[in-house]
Amino acid sequence: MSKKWAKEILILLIIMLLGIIFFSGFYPHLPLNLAVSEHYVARGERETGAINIVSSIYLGYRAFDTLGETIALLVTVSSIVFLLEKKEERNIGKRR
Amino acid sequence: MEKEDKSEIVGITSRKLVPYILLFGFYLISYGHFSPGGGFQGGVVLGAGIILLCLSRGISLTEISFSRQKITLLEISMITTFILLGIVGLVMGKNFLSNVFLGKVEEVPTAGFIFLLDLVIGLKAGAGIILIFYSLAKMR
Amino acid sequence: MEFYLTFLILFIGIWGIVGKENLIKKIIGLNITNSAVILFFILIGHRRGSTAPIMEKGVKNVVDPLPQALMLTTIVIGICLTALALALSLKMYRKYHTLDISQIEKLAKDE
Repeated sequence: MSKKWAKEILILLIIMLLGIIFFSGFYPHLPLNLAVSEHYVARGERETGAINIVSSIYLGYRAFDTLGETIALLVTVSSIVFLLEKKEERNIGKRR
Repeated sequence: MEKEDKSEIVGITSRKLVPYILLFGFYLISYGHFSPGGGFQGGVVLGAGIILLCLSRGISLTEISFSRQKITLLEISMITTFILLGIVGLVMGKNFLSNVFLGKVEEVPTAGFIFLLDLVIGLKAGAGIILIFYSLAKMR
Repeated sequence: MEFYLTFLILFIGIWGIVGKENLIKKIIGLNITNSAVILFFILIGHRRGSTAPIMEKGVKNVVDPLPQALMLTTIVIGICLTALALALSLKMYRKYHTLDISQIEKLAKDE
């Protein structure tokens, strides 16, 4: 019981140490390029017709990405229905 | 005895709450371009309402009204409608999935196209979540 | 200061994936890591003293709407990932009748 706890705490300490080494050089005040965001905020309502700018981005300017994500959801649902069928279980029972 | 008492309380409370959850989901989808909300958010709330109904009454009773064939048909027809709405933009001479109803009605820009896309995506996401729950919960 | 809390959540999630031996706990760790990445991106687009990006009458300063729109897709992909991982672990349970990853390794080597 205590052997498992010691192993988990050792892994936790190693991961925290790696985290500190990895992110020690993080400097959050870099200058960002905001030209695209300012264009969306300034002219989004006129060109798309929606007051909510987030909706006008993912359904107006970048609607193609939403189509790709919808296809990803369709493929996921089809694969889950295919994986968890019940006829397979019936066949395994019959073979024995 | 105590187990039956617990499921009675859960069942009665959930059955009173489910119509309001579905109404809230449709509100989030319809007002997606006016206030915080949108397609995916409203769709997931719709799916969660149906899952609550399943948890309170049992899956076999819920499948009589929300059967698996109907929800699969809903999902497939919604994605076909999305692609057809995009081709409407191509037919009218502009880009794919562009806004064809853009104009001004008394100085208010019309947002009909975004509302249609919102509705399609919301129903599709809700149907997907319900189908995933049906497949995962009927295992043994 | 706020970014370091996000990194803490990220490393707790990574510890959950690597250090635990139950399959369901590994999947929970994956979900926690996903949430940490989404929080980090939304935190980058924040401006001090601004409101939500809904252009009603007389709204001047808004936060950055672009990371929020990109993270909507990321959340949906996270749902797909968790659902597929749960379905695969269910099939593994049907075959090996255990959820412990070290015992599954031993049983799979013997086949």
